[in-house]
Amino acid sequence: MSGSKSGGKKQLNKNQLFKRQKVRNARTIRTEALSSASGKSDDLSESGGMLRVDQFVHSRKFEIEQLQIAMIKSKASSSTRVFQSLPRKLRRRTASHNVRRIPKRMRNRALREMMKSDQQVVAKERIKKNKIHGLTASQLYKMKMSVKLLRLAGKSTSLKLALPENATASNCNLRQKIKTLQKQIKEAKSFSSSNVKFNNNKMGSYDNTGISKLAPIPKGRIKYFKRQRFFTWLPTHIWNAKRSHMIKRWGCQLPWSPTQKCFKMTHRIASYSATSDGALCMDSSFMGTMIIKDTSEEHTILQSLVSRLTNKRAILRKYRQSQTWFQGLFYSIKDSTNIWGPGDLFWVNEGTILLRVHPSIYVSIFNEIATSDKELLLHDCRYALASITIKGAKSLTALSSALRSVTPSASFEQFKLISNLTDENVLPQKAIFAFDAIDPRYLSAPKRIHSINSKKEISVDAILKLQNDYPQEEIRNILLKLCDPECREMSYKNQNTLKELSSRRQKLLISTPQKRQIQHDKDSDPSIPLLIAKRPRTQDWVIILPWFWLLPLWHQINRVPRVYHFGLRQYQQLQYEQRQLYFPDDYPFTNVGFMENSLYKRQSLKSRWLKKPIGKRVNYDKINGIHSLELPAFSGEIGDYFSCDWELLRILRNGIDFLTSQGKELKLIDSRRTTQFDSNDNSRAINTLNDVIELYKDVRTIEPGTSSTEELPVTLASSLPTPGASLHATEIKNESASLIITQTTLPIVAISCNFIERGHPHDNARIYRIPDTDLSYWLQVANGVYRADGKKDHEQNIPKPSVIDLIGFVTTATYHLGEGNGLATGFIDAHIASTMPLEQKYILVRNVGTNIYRLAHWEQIIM
Amino acid sequence: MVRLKSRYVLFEILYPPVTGTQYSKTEIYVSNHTQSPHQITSKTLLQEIRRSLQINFGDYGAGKVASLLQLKYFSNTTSMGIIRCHREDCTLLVAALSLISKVADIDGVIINPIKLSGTVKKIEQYGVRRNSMAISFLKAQPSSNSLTLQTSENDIKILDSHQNF
Repeated sequence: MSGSKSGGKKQLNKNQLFKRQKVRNARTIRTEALSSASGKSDDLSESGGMLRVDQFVHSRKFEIEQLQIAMIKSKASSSTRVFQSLPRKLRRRTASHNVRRIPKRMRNRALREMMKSDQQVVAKERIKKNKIHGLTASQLYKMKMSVKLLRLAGKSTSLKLALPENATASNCNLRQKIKTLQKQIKEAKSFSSSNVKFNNNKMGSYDNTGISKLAPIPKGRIKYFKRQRFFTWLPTHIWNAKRSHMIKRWGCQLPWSPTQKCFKMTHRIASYSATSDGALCMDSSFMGTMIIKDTSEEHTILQSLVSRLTNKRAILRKYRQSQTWFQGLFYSIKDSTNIWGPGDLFWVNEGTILLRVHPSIYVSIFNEIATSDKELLLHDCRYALASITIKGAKSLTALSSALRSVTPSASFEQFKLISNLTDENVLPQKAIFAFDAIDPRYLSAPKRIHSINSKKEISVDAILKLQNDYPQEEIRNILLKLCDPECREMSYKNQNTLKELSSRRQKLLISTPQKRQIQHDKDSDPSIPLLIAKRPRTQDWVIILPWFWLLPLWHQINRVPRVYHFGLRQYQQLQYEQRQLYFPDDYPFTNVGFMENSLYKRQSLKSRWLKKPIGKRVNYDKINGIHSLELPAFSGEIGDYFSCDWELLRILRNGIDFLTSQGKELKLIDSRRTTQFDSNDNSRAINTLNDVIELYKDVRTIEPGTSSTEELPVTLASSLPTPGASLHATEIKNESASLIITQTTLPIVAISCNFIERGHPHDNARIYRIPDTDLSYWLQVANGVYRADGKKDHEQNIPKPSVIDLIGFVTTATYHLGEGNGLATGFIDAHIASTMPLEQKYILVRNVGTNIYRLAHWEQIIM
Repeated sequence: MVRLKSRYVLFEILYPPVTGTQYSKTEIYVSNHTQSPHQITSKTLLQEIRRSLQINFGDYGAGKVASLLQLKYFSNTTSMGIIRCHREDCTLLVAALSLISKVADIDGVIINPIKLSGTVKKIEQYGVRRNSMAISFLKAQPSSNSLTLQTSENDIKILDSHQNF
């Protein structure tokens, strides 16, 4: 029988055989032959006493060489394709079989490789005969028109004309746009009309500030305008779209996460670890920036506004006068119990502040301030000021190698001094730099600054000097330039196009070949006012600069080795790893955060669950053994399966408080009676815990978030209440029980809990208190229960808590790489948190849809 | 898909000191790590390993380990080699290696398993590191007698004096 028919081994074709042989050849390590002369005499008995050290060394050197060659060869043989030899960051997965997607310089090699591997070379699409250019008549017409439009737009930028309103309006059709452009160009050429607006640069950059009103969407390039009618592009959109997964939210298109996996890298580089040797940067221009000016002498209106906005915090002298960057919660001006969310505040001078808030709450805050304090001058700089957030050991190095000051500046000297620092924690809390920078593109490549001090380590004195010699006057002047719309507009004056830059560089190379950096011309070249600030809480750096200057800087920073970009997801990861709250996911006590949890994330999780076939999805209703006692009111998992069910928590905690008030004993079920209804107002009578859960089920039928007027079920407890004081004892009056239970808001505290044993917590996990009866068992677990062989015993029958022990939910959780165990951020009932003794701050965490409880130690997150 | 998991063992053959000679520290090192004679080839080595497995671990051990037993590399000049085996059987192999005392017809040798790894690359890297350490160790030694490295072109019979004793 022939080998091919007898089964077993597959017959290989010619190419496969060739490849196999090639790999085999590549993997063999060459050995040095024994020289025949020495070989004969090398009988052990004969050569016994003869030692040849030189031969010893020589043969080992040979072996080293061969081993190294073998490593290189086997690596080269495995990467078969040219696109695979590119660094990971530069690889494109999409259509990598298509030669035209491979860099031009590598195409020939790629073609050769494709021929070898019998792969089809993708030919250009053949055009059907009845279509000219592959288009139908109407498509062709549209294309021709849009080409015309683009030509006109190009012409108008080279004439430095600002795009007219009509050109970017969404209700205008193509022909109207062309008409307006044509008209404008004609008018501009004849110098006849004064209503033509000119830009001061060929790039089409202009300042887009909304003065006392919201700014219109920026008029970027006309070609891409239609795509950003509802979701604006960030300055780095095109760069990011190639390298990140994008999401459309909050009126912007945001980078969600780099296409390349980066969980570990994010932790290593940016999560304040000693191994960090790079930096991560993000285009954070989506954060809305607002400038508020008080033109009066005393600035009392502004001060009272800030005091109300930040609950009296950012009004302190340290922020107001010595310009420390403020990060904290922003409260509603009208109603101090309503928290908007976190934000940044910076006092530019006594009468001007700069606010940075999340885009989801920006418009509400802007409108609130605009309507409440009419005396203040409000600038909406969402599309006028852009920012980069950068984090990691090399962030200062990366920034300093891309930025140069125009004129000698004290602040820039200070910045140079610390440019090689890797740990920003050695700096004082206030670390602010501001100077006029040259166009970053003048540097041919980012270059590290070597100041006189860079060799030496920075002394403590030098760092103290940063604080003492803080050039406040100079910084204020630069900041005023940054905050003034006209100065920003001026900064774009003569902004060079890439063509102009390269022609300047060409001239430079001919005249002085050793010089690479384009010289800054004081009279004609632009200077960029910018602000670099250390954010004390998140421990990162923020660079704020005019909107159209961000992209040049972004390109330069990303050329620094070991500097990578990150997206929102990584930002969340970093905040989680620092045990901080991430907006909006970890802010259920704010409106936006609550909606994010109960609508947005819930919907997405639910639809993902629904997509699965019935057999494959977790049947939450039928999970057994979750609680020690099953109640007839529900079976399986408690609460909503896809979100943190704050409504349940409120009703449960309030219900238990109500049932145990006035010294009554808590009854779980009354086996003799079914549900009762009050005869007076037809509401449910609350006698047992089962009734409370039934009440929750009544309330839940209304979809969360549908009625916008209703209050949030939870609030942030401002401080831990004193133990023992029952929160609701005073509130129970003559109202019906169910109304009290469903209307009283529940104070919660933010906690971060560390798993003591195994376990990987997930979002929306449930948090339980340890019942008093099981406390001794869990304390034992905390100390470790060991088997006879000295290893930890993980397989014990654990006592289950009951429904009444549910005290909170986990908002963000995963495995913490720095801690080496699970870590969860969540919220628990403030009343229960205050009653826990200090040395026993333990809770139980259970993932949704499981019945395994994990012990965790918690501590409060100070807001 | 289930992958075939294997382990690689880096080993070296150590030769017995010649009786009746007295060596300094360096010389002991060099004499233990001499060249392997012609009789020792990959074939004889494998035979010896199989025999050792058979003797020490019986049919079961020999059959189990021998299902995947490859000599990836063996250099006579440095007496170093790399063996590949199944991940589950590597302990048997290492034990069998250390129980060998005779290869071909040379008696009293020790096969010293140096390093165990899951990839050839790491083994190679370790081999490189070990070799360069050996070289630097020799260079660091004060050149005693005729033990010099500078004149490496010529074959020097270093221990003439010892032979005369």
